[in-house]
Amino acid sequence: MHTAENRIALPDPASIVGETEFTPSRRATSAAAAAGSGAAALPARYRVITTNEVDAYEAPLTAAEAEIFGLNRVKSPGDNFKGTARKTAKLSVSKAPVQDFQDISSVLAALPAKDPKNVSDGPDSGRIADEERNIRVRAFIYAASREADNDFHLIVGDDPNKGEEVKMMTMEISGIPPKKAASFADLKSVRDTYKSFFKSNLPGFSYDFYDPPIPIEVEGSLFFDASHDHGTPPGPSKLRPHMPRIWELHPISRIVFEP
Amino acid sequence: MPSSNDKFRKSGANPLSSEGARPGLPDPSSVLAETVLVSPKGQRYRILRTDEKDAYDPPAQPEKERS
Repeated sequence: MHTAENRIALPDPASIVGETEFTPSRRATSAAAAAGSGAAALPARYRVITTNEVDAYEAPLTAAEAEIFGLNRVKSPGDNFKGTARKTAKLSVSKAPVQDFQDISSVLAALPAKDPKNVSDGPDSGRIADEERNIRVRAFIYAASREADNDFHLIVGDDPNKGEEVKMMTMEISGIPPKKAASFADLKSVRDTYKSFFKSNLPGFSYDFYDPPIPIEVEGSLFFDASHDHGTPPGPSKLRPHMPRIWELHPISRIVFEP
Repeated sequence: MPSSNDKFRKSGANPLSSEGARPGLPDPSSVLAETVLVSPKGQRYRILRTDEKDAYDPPAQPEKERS
């Protein structure tokens, strides 16, 4: 595949907002014919470089449009955690032993029957007793978005073959904590792994859906998001009926894609 | 010219679609764009970018003015 190093007329790197690959579907005979005719072989793939450039007479891309389309290189929201609500708990990984679960339904079945009461939403609010649990489970990412605090908000569920019986819960790729935090190395590694998998296809501030859902193995600490105790819970409208609890895996401390 | 089976798509009907085969796909009216992610293991995933946010998140801020 041609690259920026070996040809002219590529865009100013500062204008690039996304990149993907395009593999044309060609009839097998086309390549054979090209080979037989002595014509130069066509590239198997093309790099598609999306820029924020428009014709001079067009209106430029707005910040709002950049948010919706997830053009993070335009908005440059960064990677550091920017939230305050329950910051201490969200940036900590419980020291409890890891419990293995078969699927999300079994994780949900193992949660406390009653949600905790009066959990402080302040920045110094640490893990409560029910949150001192680490779990490991194989599941599937159905949708994801980026939050204002720089967490990536994953909607993770059972095997899609379960149909309408699929259960889901929220899991979060945390914004990176300060370097002095005990969780720094783990949370940065998780975020790096996530970004490496999606590359230029990271979600923006609205939800991306994945079809088929993406298989993962994930570890992390249970978390009760008291901020969602009232009002509409998190998740896109089509998935909320599959999300019976507002407990989360937060933060994710290890993730493997396509295990 | 690209054919209807191209791996990269911005919009329109997609032959990869499994819509109707499983629950949890977005309302079609919320879909803004569509592309395909090819994983390091070669698996293809359709990405449906929607305008849906969590109900408690503020909507995208409209631009104040354009020159």
